[in-house]
Amino acid sequence: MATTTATVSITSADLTPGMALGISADTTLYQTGTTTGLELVDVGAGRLTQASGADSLQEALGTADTSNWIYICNNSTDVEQYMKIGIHDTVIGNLGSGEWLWMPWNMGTADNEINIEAEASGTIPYEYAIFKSTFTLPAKT
Amino acid sequence: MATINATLTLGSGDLLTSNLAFSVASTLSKAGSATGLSKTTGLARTNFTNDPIQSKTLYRSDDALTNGANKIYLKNLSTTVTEYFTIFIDQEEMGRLYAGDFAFFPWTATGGTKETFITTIANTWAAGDTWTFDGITTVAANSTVANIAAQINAQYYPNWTTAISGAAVTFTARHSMDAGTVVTATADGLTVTAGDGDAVISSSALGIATESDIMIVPSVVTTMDLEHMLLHE
Repeated sequence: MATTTATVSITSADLTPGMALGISADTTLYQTGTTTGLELVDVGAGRLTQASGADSLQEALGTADTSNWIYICNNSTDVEQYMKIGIHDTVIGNLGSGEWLWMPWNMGTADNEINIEAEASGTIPYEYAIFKSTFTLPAKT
Repeated sequence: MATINATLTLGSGDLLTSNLAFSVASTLSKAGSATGLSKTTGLARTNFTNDPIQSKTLYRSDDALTNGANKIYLKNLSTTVTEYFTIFIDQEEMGRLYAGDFAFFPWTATGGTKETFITTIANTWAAGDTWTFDGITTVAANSTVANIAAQINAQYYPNWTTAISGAAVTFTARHSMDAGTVVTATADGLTVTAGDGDAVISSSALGIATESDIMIVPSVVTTMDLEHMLLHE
């Protein structure tokens, strides 16, 4: 089994008066409800344009109710270029330039695909990593 | 404005042949600008102990700016590997946070519409007359309708906020939610008057549920704790 760790740090000296914010959390990525490490990963990078509309970053081809993790980073340096991130028809949020997300993903049904969309003109470079408990390759067409 | 830095580090020495090791840092800014986010609910810890299991609305879309650069941090504080929280955005399941897992993601906070109506104090009222709504009873201090409306406006209602114009009080629901198909009507208030005073409700408009409230469901009925924070515009 593999050992993969994720660590987050969120800090601010001036967000709340008299109390500096200093969150630090780390976790090891395990297969669903166990202490066996996740072993499936896709790592990649791409470029989005507004003209392409919403694109599926990953189809939900794994097993329902399992542990899976998504990392996405908007690598644009233009503050007006943001990515809209969604699961099927539900918009999760907007990822601004230089921002990243780290979230669990339940591939519960085939309609749980992760989709991304550029929301400004130009090209938005992005990178991603998806850690999965299970995954089935798409069928040959 | 505040300066908030968020850094994610992912690493593994044995997942791939080549070491996986990267770190990404960002400074959290308002949408479309370089001005830092400056609002937060603060870091909080919420306990879930319910039998049967019950979901909780962790953050309502009304709490943050729609399409703002809002961010949510969550961490499951459980140490039992099989215990997890399921995260929902509206009715869409995002995924599970098992023991020790954390998440940090943007949130559009797509809002709905808050139900509203106007009640107008009219005709002949007397000191001691009452009007009851949302469990709150206002006792008229005198017979002047504008004064009675001011008294109604000054009350605290559990589910509504108010604004006043003359003898008319506008009620607005505290939260956007789908209240069904029946608007608030005059009969929903109880008027007790010695004369012919009334409090007719008009201009009622139904609410529409939000589309992105953050809902959390624990996996067990025994105690589980969730650490969380909303950073928002």
